[in-house]
Amino acid sequence: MIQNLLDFYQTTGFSQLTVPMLVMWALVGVLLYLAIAKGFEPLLLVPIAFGALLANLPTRGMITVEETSPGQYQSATFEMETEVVETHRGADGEIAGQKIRVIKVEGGLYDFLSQGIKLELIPPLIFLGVGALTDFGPLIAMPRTLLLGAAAQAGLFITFLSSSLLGFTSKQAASIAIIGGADGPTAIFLSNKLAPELLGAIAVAAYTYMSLVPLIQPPIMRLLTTDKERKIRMKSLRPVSKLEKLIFSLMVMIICVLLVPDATALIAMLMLGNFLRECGVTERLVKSAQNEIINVLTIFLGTSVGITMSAQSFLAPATMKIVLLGVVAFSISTASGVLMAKVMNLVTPKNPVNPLIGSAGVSAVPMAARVSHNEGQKYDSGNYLLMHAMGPNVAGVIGTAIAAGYFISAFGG
Amino acid sequence: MNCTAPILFAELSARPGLAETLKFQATGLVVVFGALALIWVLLEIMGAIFRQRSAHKIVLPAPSSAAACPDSDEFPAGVVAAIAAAVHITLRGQPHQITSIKASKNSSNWAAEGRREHFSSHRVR
Repeated sequence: MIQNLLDFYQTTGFSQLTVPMLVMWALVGVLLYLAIAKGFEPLLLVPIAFGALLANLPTRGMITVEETSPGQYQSATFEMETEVVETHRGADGEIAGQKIRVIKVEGGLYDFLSQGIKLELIPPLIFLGVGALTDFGPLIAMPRTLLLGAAAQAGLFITFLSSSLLGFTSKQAASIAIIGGADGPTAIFLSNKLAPELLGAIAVAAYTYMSLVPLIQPPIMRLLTTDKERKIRMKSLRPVSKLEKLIFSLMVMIICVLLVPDATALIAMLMLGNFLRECGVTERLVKSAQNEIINVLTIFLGTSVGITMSAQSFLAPATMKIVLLGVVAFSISTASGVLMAKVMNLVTPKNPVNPLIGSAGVSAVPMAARVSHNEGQKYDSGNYLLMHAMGPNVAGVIGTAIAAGYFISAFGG
Repeated sequence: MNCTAPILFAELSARPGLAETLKFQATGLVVVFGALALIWVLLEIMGAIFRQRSAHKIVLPAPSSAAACPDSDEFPAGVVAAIAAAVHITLRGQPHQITSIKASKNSSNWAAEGRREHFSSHRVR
C-alpha cells in the first residue's frame, strides 16, 4: 500500500516541485503585494504575477517550455501534425514547394495565447488603446516639450553601452536599454524581436520600474533642481482645436514612418487610436479601443509575459543584471529630461519651463506627469504642472517608439 | 506597402567595440532628436497658422463682469467666477451685470424651482 501511495505521489505535481519554483512563488508574492497593497500598476502586475505563478507550477495543458541549448529556453511552441498533399518540383528535380494539410495542432492554452506576443500583435494593439486614451493637446500647445521627450531617451542609449560592457550581445543590450523608456508595450515589442530569451525579465523590470515611478524619480528631480526652479510657474496652455489634433496625428505618423519604418506598427496604431478619438465621429470605436480592446489585451499580455518567468529561465545571473541595468536606464532617462529643461531655460530665460516636468519625458503615462505635478505642488501649492507635464510625457511615448524603430533598423530585427 | 529598406545606421556586430558602440549611440540620439525636432518645427508652424486664424475671428465683448460685483469680497474668486459663468449661460449671453452676490437665508427657491421644472415637464390634465 505504501508503494501504491508512493507511486501515486509520483503522479502528482508535488513530486515535481523544486526549490527555485518556491523562490519564484516568493517573488510572485512580492509582485502581488506591490500591485494589491501598494497599488503599483495593478492592471499589469496582477496578470504578470499570476502568469509567473502558473509558470512555476507543474501545470499541464498551459504552456510548453523546451531547452533549445544549455540555459536557453524556448516557450510557447506547439506541435502540428501535417501531411503533404502536393509537391512541386523545379526543372532540376529539386523540391520547389509543397502543399501541406494540417491534420492536428497540439499545444497548451498559452502556447496559442502567447502567439499574440510572438507574432507582435498585442503590443501594437495596446498602442491603439493608448492612442485612444491620450490627449496630445498639451504637446501641440507647447511643442518645445518634445525636446524633453527626446532628451529622456538618452538613458536608453547610455544603458545600451553599459549593457554591452556587462557582456550582453548588441540585440540583448538594445532590449534592456529600452526599459529606460518606461513603455511596457514597446519594451515587449522590441525584446520579442531582438532578444526573446530575455522577454520575461525585461517585461517585469519595465513594468516594475514604471510602477515605482513615484519612488524612483523624485529624489533625482530634487537632486538636480534648485528650490527656485521647482517654483517656476509656466504660462497657461493655449486651447488646441480639433483640426490641429487631427493634423497632428497624421503628421506624426507620416514623419515617423518615413524616418523609421520599423516603428510603423507601434506609431501607426498609436495614431490610429488617437485619430479615432479626435475625429469625433467614431465614438463606438473609441470606446472599444479605450476599454474592451485594451483591457482584454492587457490580461493576455500580462499573463503571457508572466508565464515566461519559469524559475529555470528567470533565476539566472542575467536577470539580476537586467534589473540593475533597468534602474540605471530609468534614472538616466529621468535625469536627462530634467537637465534638458534646465538647458532650455538657459536658452529662453523669458519663457522658462519648470525643470520638474523634464522627468515626465519617460513615457510612463500619466504617472510620470503626475509625479512632476505632485513634486511641484510640494514647493508651491498653487502651481499646477500636470497639463504642462503631459506634453513631455506623450512626447516620450513617441520618442521611445522611434528609438525602438532605430534599434530594429540597426539590428535587422 | 512593405518597405524592404536596407539596414541603416551601420550594422552593429553582436559584440561591438567601444568606438563602434559610441558611434551607434550618437547616431541613435541624432535620429530621435531629429525626428522630434522636425515634429516640433512643424507644430510651431501649424500653431502659428491656427493662432493667426483665430485672431481674425470677431471677439464679442464679455456680457458680464464678475470683477464689477461689489459684494464679491466675501466670496472666493473661484466661486464668483463660477456664479458669473452660470448666470451667463442661463441668460444665454444676453447683456447683464452682476451687482451683488448674497447667500440666501431660509430660502426655498431651489425647491420651488425644482417643483416648477417637474410640473412644467408634465401636461396637467
